[in-house]
Amino acid sequence: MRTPAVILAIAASIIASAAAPLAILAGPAAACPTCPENKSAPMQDGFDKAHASFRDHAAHVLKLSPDRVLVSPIEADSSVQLDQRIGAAWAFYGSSKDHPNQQVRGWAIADGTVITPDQNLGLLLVEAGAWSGKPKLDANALADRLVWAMGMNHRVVGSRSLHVDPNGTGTLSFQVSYRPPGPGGAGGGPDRVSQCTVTLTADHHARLATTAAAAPAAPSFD
Amino acid sequence: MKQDRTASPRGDHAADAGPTGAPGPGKTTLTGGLPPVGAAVQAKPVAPGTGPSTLDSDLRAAMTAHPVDPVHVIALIDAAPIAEVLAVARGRALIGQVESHMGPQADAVRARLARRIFTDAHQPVLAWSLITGDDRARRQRYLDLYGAVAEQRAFEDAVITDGTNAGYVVRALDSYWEVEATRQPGARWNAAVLQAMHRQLKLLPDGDVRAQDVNGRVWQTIVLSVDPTMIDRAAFGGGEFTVGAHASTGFQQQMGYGTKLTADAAAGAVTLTVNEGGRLAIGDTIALGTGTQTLSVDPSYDRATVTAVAGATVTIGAGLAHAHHVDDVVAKIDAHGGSVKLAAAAAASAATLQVSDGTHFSVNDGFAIGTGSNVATSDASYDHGTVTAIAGNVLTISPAVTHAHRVDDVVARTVAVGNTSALTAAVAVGATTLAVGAGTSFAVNDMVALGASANPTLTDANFDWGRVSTITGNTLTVHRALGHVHAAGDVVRRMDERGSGARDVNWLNATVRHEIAHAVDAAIPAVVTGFTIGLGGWWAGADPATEGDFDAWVAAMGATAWTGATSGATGHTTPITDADKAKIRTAITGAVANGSGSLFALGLPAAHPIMRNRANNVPVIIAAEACLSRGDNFYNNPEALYATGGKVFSISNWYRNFMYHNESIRATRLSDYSLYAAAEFFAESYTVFYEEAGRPGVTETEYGRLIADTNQREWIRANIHNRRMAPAGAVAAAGAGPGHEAAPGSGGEPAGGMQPGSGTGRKAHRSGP
Repeated sequence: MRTPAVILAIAASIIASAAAPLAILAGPAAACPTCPENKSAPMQDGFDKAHASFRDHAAHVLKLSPDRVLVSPIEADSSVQLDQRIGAAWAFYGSSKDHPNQQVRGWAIADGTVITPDQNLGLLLVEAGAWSGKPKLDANALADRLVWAMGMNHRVVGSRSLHVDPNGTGTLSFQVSYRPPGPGGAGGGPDRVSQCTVTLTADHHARLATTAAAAPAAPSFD
Repeated sequence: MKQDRTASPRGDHAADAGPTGAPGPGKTTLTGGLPPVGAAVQAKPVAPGTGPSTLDSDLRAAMTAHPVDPVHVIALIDAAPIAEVLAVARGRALIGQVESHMGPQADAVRARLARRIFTDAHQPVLAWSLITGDDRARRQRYLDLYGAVAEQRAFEDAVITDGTNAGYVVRALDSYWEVEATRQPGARWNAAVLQAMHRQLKLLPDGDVRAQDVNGRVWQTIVLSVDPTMIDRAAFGGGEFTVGAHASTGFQQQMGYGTKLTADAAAGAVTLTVNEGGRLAIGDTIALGTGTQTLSVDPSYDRATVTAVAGATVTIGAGLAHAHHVDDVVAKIDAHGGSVKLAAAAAASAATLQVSDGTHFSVNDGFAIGTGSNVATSDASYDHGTVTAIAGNVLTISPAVTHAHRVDDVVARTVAVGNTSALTAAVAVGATTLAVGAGTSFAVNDMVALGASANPTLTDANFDWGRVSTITGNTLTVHRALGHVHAAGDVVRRMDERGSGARDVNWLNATVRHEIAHAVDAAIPAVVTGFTIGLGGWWAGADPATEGDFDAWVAAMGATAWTGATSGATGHTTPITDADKAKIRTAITGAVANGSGSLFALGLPAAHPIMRNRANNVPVIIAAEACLSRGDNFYNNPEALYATGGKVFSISNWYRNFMYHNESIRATRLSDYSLYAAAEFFAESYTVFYEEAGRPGVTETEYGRLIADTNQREWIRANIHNRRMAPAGAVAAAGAGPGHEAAPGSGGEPAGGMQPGSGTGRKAHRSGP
């Protein structure tokens, strides 16, 4: 039986989860999931380490023992990688083996650093080329990936923007809409819309701040 | 889902059981020997040589009799000056003493006092304070002694409308609608929300609100919830109408026809990129504003005509005046307004039309007329043109009609843009009437705006709007009080009518209609399947999904279901084997049954046929992934749902089942949520059908005109509306108990396997397990 309240709690846990090990900042990734044809032992080792780290992270968030968590993808082969992968940051999807609807999403890199919307975002944006002057992913794609990591039933709404100044500071902004699962009245019920602002710093760190989006000022015309 | 019903806590209360005014079965026992309510009672004369008596002193004197005469006590209450009744009611201590001597007639004391206070002093709150309480049975005993059902409801309605005591409001609502009102710990009723719900309920057919099936009343309880998943929404199931504690009268919800921008559009742009080009057609008039706001008072309002549609690219006739952004709504304006009938035959070549009510048209409106109620262009007698002048009920038109028309032929209104007329007198804050230079510039039900210029916008500090409820000469009456002062000469401008186009509607009002639709569905499931299955083609598998359901789902896709699927290593072209199909069936069914997400995040190895066929665009996989990857929000991307053979294939994360429905209802949907489940398809349609109920000038025959699809609109009219369940607020005196409606044999499962009734499986609109 599904428990929406648990799903919510998990989502909250993702946001509130304890800080991961200090970010390992810019620099060449230890492995390149985009180059599977050159799969090497170091790459396999990197994937295994990333996978194991994310499994531990998911187990922590889900309050399960690691052996009760299934982390997908289960292998480094490019054909099974998730679409949300960004450069050397493998995208992972952890779920309870007993309750597959309980899920945790995020990324990990070869040294085992786990990335979520709440931790180590700078690493993800480095992989996305945010500071490179030629980003591999635009604001839409970045927002989509971050919202994917927030969990089921979140979606990006409205305009997204990414701006990085020459000095390395910048902002990625977008809005995310969340609708609790289940029927909810006319139209499915009101979505909960939040303003998300990722602040980029010159030293390649990034931090996500989320606030409730201001209610529209327009009067009701019904 | 089988509703869990218990005996009514009201016992044998007769509110719904017979004609209004008929005494409840218990009434005789309780009132035996008492004068009937409203009976003329002669005041007790003042005895010579004593001071003037009061109700207080008379009641105290009556208590000294042995035994106390209940008839006399009630007669004293009925005959006393109202000021003395009020004094006794406010004292309370005496009431208890009197009741203690009244024996079986004790409840009549408060009932009669309440009646006097409400009917003679018009103080509903004080009156209600005498009889309110959580003990519903006792409260109902008071009410039965208070008066007939219609009188009870008038009293309850006044308490709700007053709204100053939220506790009283909820108890009055509980009594009015005969539903148990409960709240979860920590929740607090919001009087404004209850008032809004009550107003909306009264606009719906009484028999729908009080819908019954073979087990009795469908809607039994209203629950105020603080459940985090429900706190700002609502649901119906198991006889419970659950309202979140944060539900607000200010929430808005999109309904109607349109699409959304998927890329920003700059000022001057003549092409728009939208998520569903198929929702628009060449010649359509469209409107854009800011976000979901597409009214002409939006500062970024644009109105345009579609000149071409190519996939997701829409070309418009002239460049946009304002910039617009991703997710801004593109409303398809369908500006058909109301209609009236010919009051006199019109000959061919007539340049005037005498109609039943000229205030429903304004100068510059378009009009259309055909034969009878048919105003389609295909009608042999179709005529159309523009109203150029209005004198009372006579419309001057151009061009003259070319066909003869008969009395009672419908004259439909097509709305022009932005008529204006200036105020001829200043208006004050709180005003609801506007004196204008030409009342004929407007029609009943028009929305009009005033502001800082001749083109008012929402950003004007003195912006005001109202809906015209009546027009008398050059005086408009609007439905809401103005919030600002406006000077003579200020322009009153008609806001563009969107008709059935995408629009924000009040979520709470819409939700009341929506949830009552579920009650109707539960009451007459076999009928409603005529809509969901008959028109919508809905099919839903079991919850949780089975592999048999998968097979049925795939079979409905036809021969192309496995197109492109291969077996062997990635890149091989060997047609997929039955063994690999079986693996895919097991994996997808498991994902559906478990509420999992993306198929590609199930932890499958690279050798699994789902992973090997990931890039092969296999319909079965595409259809499943389109929903599984989006979870319970799958319906928010209707364009992404897989369709083939005239059907759209979906998966419910909530009900954990496979579904499909006719592709035609995706194109004609009234909201994205219509695609969530069969029950929601019906509920959203019912919601829109009654959207205009209660609006000035909108007749019952015009209900449903915001549903553009003729089949859907007329099905609801014929099968739901024309059951002739009277409007609840208007017919309390008729005692409109509809009786059981469940159709014979409704318990069976209809063809196609969809569950009847609430229609959506065992969780049926509940907030969760």
